[in-house]
Amino acid sequence: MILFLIVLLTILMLLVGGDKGAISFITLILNFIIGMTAIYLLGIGLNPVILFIISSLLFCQVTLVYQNGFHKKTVVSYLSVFVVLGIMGCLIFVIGQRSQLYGMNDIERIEENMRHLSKTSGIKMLPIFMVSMLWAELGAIMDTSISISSPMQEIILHQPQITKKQLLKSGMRIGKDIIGTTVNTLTFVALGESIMLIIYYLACQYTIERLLCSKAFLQQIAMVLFSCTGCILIIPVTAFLFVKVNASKRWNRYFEKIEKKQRQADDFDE
Amino acid sequence: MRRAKKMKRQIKNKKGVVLLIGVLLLLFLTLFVKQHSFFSHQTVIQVTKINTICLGKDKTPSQTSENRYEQKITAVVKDGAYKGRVVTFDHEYFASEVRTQKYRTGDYLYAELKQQADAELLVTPIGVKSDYYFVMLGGIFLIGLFFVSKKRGGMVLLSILINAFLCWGLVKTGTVNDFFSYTWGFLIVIFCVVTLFCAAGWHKKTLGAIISSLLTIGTVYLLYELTVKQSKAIPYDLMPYYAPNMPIEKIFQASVLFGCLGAIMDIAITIQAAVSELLLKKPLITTKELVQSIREISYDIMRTMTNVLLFSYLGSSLPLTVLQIANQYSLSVIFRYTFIFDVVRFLLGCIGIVLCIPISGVIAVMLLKRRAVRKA
Repeated sequence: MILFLIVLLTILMLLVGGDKGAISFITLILNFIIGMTAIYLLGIGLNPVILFIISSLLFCQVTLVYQNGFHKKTVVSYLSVFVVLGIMGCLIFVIGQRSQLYGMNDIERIEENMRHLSKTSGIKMLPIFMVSMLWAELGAIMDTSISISSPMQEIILHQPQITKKQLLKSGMRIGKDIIGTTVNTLTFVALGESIMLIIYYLACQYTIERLLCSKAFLQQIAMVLFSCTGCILIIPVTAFLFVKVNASKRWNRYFEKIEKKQRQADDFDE
Repeated sequence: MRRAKKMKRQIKNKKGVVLLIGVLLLLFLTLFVKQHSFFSHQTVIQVTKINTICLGKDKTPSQTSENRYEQKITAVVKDGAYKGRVVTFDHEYFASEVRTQKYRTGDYLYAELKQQADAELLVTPIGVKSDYYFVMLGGIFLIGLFFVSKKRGGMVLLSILINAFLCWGLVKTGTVNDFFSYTWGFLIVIFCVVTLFCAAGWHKKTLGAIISSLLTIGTVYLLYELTVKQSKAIPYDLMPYYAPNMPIEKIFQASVLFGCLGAIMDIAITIQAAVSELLLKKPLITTKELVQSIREISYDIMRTMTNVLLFSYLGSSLPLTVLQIANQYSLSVIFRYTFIFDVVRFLLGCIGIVLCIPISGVIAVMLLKRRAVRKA
């Protein structure tokens, strides 16, 4: 069944997207493999911080650079994704630690399927919680970022004389259009995931008071809020960094060099 | 001219003032909720002193060892009948904090207090009082949303609120079994209508988006019936948060469909908006050209949306999977009994996303093109 669904997805992506569909399918597969490997290594007990940094570098490499090529927009997106991951990481660390959101929640603790899991694991749970929250928002952050920086690059291509302020403003305007739909997508994904939990609460007849103390519920809410906050944060960060990079001479020289190299490579191919 | 400039500056300052007021209000609210138990009537105690003792080492499943600690906690009761009393209790945790987490000095805890015969209070901690962190986080989210996208952010919020309210109302009206036999179908339609109207307003493209997202959801539903329901590969009773005596297969189906609904609506409205924009600029565009430009847009959406889904599901299934790997579960067991739920959700979500593109393209051409031609 899984195999059938995968084959169906492949065929549909190729039919609808053509060559580019193939690229996006390969990206999906690569990201999946990187994610699985990282989860496995986390499970063995490697250092989660280092593992997280390496895996998110790889994710960005695949999602941003492999799909879009090495341009100003990808570099800006790269930088802004890491800035936002840093800020959100601090926020998640503080809130997660102080309100004990990590580890098993109240329902998992008493659940039948979890009985076999030992009380010790050898792996600290707080970093695992942080990695999980950051990964959940990473996809949305990367996509919002590249969706802002690539129209901005178009703008400076068509209007090289545009002022910094106007450029910043148009970046923010693009972000405004994206944010609504992204927030919607994230909330519905979370709804789909938490429907089991909602039914559990209904079946056990939780009162609102008990619900607001329940860690499982708080974890779900935290996940949605963290991802949406990250998505909002990335908009001004990307717009601002793009303007900065566009204005700095050193970066521009660097990009000119790279473009020249790429052009030479293209000529060579022909 | 000068006046316009002045007005502009005033508006800008106003934005700053609003932001400042928002931040101050948020700070005030956070502190208020921190001090008062606003959302709950349980007794609150505050930890004042902790003595941590190492009780020795325990073996982990991967044959290493790990410290076990006991905290001797002194706390002050903050409200209720025993307000002001100093209480003590013990709390045990492991270094990895899997099942129980350690407390920190200054934490506010919910606790149950029981008077014992020897005038001592028996304390059972229930959990950390973390509501003020959530107030803060929600406030940061709201301020950010309004700062980045004023009116549209408000509409998104409004649609989420209306949806949540309707969802709650519908769940309350019948039993759970009723809900999963027919009500959730209505709920999907309602979600579509409310969310899309809030996102795009009263417009013909909204109608197109509603029709195409409902058609796509219908197709995904059929696909689910044909594939997942026929196969016996899904161990429903191993699902997390499994509650007995519930129509578990129906619940899983609903969770799959709700999960991809957001992405599908997103694509539907994007394509409808793009087509209506194109027709506005070039009313006499041929269908072939139109299809070509839809294809170009669709590639961008397809790759971003599938990625968002992938990372969402990866992140949410990570903690449990890591625990299971640490407990020496074999990978095939993990895949077959834990990962499969998210894999099915993800695959059907992606298929929904990809299917939505041609469906909403066709609907857009049918609905909008005809009118544009008539106008021209």
